[in-house]
Amino acid sequence: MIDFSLLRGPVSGAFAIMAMTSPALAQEPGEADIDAMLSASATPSGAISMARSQAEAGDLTGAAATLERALLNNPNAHQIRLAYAGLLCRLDDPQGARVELTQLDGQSISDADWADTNGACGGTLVRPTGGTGGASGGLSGQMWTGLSYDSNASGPLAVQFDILNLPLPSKDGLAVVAGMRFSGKSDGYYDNGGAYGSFSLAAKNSIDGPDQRYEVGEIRAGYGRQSGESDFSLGAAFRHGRIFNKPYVTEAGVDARIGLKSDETSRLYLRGEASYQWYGKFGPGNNGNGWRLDAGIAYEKKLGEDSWFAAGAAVEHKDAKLRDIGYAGGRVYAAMQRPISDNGAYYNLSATVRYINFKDNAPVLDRRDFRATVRGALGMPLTQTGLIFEVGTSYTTRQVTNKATVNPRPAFQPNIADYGSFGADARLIWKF
Amino acid sequence: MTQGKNIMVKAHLIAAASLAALAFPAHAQTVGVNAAIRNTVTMKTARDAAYRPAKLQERIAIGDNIATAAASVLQILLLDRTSLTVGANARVKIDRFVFDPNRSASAVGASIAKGAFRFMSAKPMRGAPGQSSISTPVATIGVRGTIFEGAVGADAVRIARGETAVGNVAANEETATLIVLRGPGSRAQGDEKPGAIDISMGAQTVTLDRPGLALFVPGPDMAPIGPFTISDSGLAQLHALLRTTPNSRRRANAVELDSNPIVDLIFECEGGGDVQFDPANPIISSSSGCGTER
Repeated sequence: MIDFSLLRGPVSGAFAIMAMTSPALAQEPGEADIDAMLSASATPSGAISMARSQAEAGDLTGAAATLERALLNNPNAHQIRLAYAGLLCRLDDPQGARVELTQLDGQSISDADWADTNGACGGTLVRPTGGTGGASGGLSGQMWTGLSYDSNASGPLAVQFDILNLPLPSKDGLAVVAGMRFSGKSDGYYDNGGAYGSFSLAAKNSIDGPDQRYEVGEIRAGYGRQSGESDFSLGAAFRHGRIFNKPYVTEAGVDARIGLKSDETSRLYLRGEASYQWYGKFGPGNNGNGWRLDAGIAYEKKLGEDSWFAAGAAVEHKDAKLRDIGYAGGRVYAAMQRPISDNGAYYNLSATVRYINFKDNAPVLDRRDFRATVRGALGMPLTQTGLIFEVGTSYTTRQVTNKATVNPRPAFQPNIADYGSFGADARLIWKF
Repeated sequence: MTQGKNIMVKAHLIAAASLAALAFPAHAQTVGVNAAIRNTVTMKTARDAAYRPAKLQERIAIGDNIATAAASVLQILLLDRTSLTVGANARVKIDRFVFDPNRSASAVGASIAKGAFRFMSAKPMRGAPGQSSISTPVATIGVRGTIFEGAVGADAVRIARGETAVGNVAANEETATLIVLRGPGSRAQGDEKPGAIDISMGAQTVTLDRPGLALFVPGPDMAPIGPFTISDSGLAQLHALLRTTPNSRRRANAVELDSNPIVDLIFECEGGGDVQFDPANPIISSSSGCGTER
């Protein structure tokens, strides 16, 4: 490296720089520093930390350059974008900050991050519209519709019986699937507590093949509070399901959830629900009415922007007027979503395994169900406004152990057949 | 630094740069680093016969040709930490660069032949105000320690025509240049001092000294339009060429599990799938009519 302090005049300086222009085998002044700086700011948290240090040292322009670089690498890092907008204000560019914040319309931003940014701008900014039902108040949700092709399409909703070992019919089916999910939280939910509510609906209707029609709707509402360290909610839940356009089951109950921060990117949840079920005549009828209790533990970890992992386990218990319809059981599940490209494409994997032991072990039958589903999907954003095309494939099975406890098996107690189905679906999803 | 020392530093820099430029083909001197690359960015150095993909943290030398494709962005970090962001569909070259880390002074000359750009001078460059310039086909931007951005070519014409102050004027789609001063403004905090740029077009020079002021040069030998205050819409269009936007307006990091009623609920009736329903089954006392097939 050349010591510029030895320069005594323009000509000597020129020769020094001429020396620099020779084939550069050695590093130029500043190269090592820049390499170190790039390494230190390679992650979103590293970039924010570095920008904070630069800003504290008075180098706001350098801090802005650091965050611009981080945003090129992490376009969905809203915390970086908020910090960047704050820096623009401190550089006396409120218009630039305002325009930058329009990128965050409809995105999830925390009240704390927003307070920092707006504070840097003298409280003059308008908060991006359409909070997302995440940490901050506002409304979010998604709607989807698509087509589903399933093998053995008659099996999912209608139990088949294995009679005299006759081959079971198995017909593929084509159906339209649709659904929506809305979630809202009142302003101040994040820091001071407030109301929350959600509504979801999922439906499937046959186009060709066996009847697969069902609709399931759910409404939840209550009070909760979410902070950086923990969150809780307590509310009511109402659910109604229909099969083949006939009422099947209605549930009403209460649910509660407590969330505890594990580290900066993960949380552990404990949740429980108690609800009473009423079955329609089409289903088990009054014999199925009774309480259903469900309690579980879940772990959720954010792996990055639009990237997460979740796993959980739950135990469940159902009482019924006719004891045999009641059951005890449990389930485990895991799911993850990861990006596969910079343009927002992702893959999603999920699996659930459920075990149910019906209370019908005497005197005739002992039914135990093993149910499982696994689905893999690829998603691709079609627009910047949340429109996504997703294709998925799945396998769902219900393995029924339905042993007779008497021999010979009573003729009126045919064995419930196992069920398995491969499926493929394509969905158009709009998230907002 | 005293005024006398400042003058001496400038003299060093100018003389050094001039002699160095005369003495050697300036292809070996590292002047900066590819600090961030988004999508497709290509380079052609003195050692390359043709453009090739640029690499992250690859060194940039004087005379290297840099090109970006659509929806692509490159951030160049010069050795003095000056940032030059090159937006979509751009052609850029660093023509000269002098950096004295001990005296904290630097100067740069760059050419923007096409595309969007954003320039943020670092502290050393602010120590030698007026020594740096960015050239476009129709204007030369003299830098006085500042942040500015702009576009050359069709994007400049498109954005400028959306501005009330410009309107639907005749413009050269290849060379038209839009330049916007972004700061620091007079109320900037930290160690930042208000910046300005002097835009020269032949014998005419226009100074932008307030964030948000813009100048549009429609083409060679055409009168510049401005200064005018760029609109939020115009600025947003410029940013779209230089920045990233969230991939979608969806809830970030939301954990949304796919529900399957077959597994998640006891959600079934009996006797479907062409199998005759047995009403005597005690397991689930269901009524008939389930499982009708279309």
